[in-house]
Amino acid sequence: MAEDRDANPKELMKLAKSGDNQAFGKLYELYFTPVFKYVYFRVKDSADAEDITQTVFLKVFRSISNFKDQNVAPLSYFFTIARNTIIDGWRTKKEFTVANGEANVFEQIPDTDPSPLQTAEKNETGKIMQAAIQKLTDDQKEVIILKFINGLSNKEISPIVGKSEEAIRQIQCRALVSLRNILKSHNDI
Amino acid sequence: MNENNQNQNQKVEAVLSEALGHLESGKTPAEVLILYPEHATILQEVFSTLNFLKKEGESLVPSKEFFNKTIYNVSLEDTVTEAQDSRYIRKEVEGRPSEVNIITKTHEIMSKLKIIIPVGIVAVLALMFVRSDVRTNLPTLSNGNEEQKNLQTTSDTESQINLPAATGDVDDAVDALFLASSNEASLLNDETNDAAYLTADSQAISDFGQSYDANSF
Repeated sequence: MAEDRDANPKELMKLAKSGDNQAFGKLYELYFTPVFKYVYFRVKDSADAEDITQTVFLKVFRSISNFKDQNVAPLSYFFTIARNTIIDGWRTKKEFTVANGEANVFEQIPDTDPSPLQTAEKNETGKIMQAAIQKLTDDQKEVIILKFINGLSNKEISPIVGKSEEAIRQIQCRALVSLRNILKSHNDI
Repeated sequence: MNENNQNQNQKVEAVLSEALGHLESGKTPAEVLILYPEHATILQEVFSTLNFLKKEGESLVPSKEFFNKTIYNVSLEDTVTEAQDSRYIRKEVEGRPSEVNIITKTHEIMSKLKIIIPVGIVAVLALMFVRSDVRTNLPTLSNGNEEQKNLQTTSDTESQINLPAATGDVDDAVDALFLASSNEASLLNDETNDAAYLTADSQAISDFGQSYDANSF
């Protein structure tokens, strides 16, 4: 995946755990974008996504001394905290996601100078895709985001969602078939 | 109809699972499509969906401003890492005063001072009052002491009179007579003292009678 193997996240975690702020800075650089992407696609709101991402890194910074490196990969640690923060957020603030799944515009950083037509088409397709993702079940949504948007392997996803690799494979296949059906029905209209 | 759809979906899911396995093992989408000619159309649609999802993920990048803002907020956090924790514990063990201890001790001292200062002031005032009271009563007390001292010496003299034992010797008998006469002289002296004491008493009573005025009350 997205994990920079050269930076050796486990070693960075050990250093950060012993109070090395530079190591934490490197971990931050490494995981900031993947965590933000995951959170953004889960909550569908850029302001909420920013708040949650910030909370995630504050939580990691506070709890890094409790990190046990025997079994958990740093990547899973960050994503698990992000996942729990989203769930906690939903418990306290239920309107993270918009009920009809279409009210929020799929905001993105534009590519280099796209034409207005390209931007409109891209935004339109993005909205449709986002709406289709929101129609999936929670498990499917989570696996699709982690697997195809964040580019994690099934092995990396397994500890985050607490399911076996085989279960994840099934969920992702079912989710892809559902997505294809949703998009196909939309195109037929 | 629904059952047919379900069966169809299950078949597609099984094929898709295999196809994704091939992709993960490094095969290109084109190579995978050749392996499943019957499901090529569906797989093609799924692959384009995957491609779109991937592009969506790649194009979404948090702004530099947000990145910097977050790391700034994190840097403001004061966390207790293992190293800091052990340093803190070591300080406690070595008995070096920590900031927390200094504050706590200062607070304790201040709260004690709040009680000690008023109590001290009251004690000093009480001592001053007692001393001034003693000074005003001092002359009367000293007079009384002198009289008491005289009485004490008299009684001491009495207790010191010891008669010698009868030995049958003339010299001893003469000595005994001399001693008895001297004892009589000391007894006389005592009586004189007693008389003086009584005179002093009556004088004191008469003084008190003169100074006391019932009408003043």
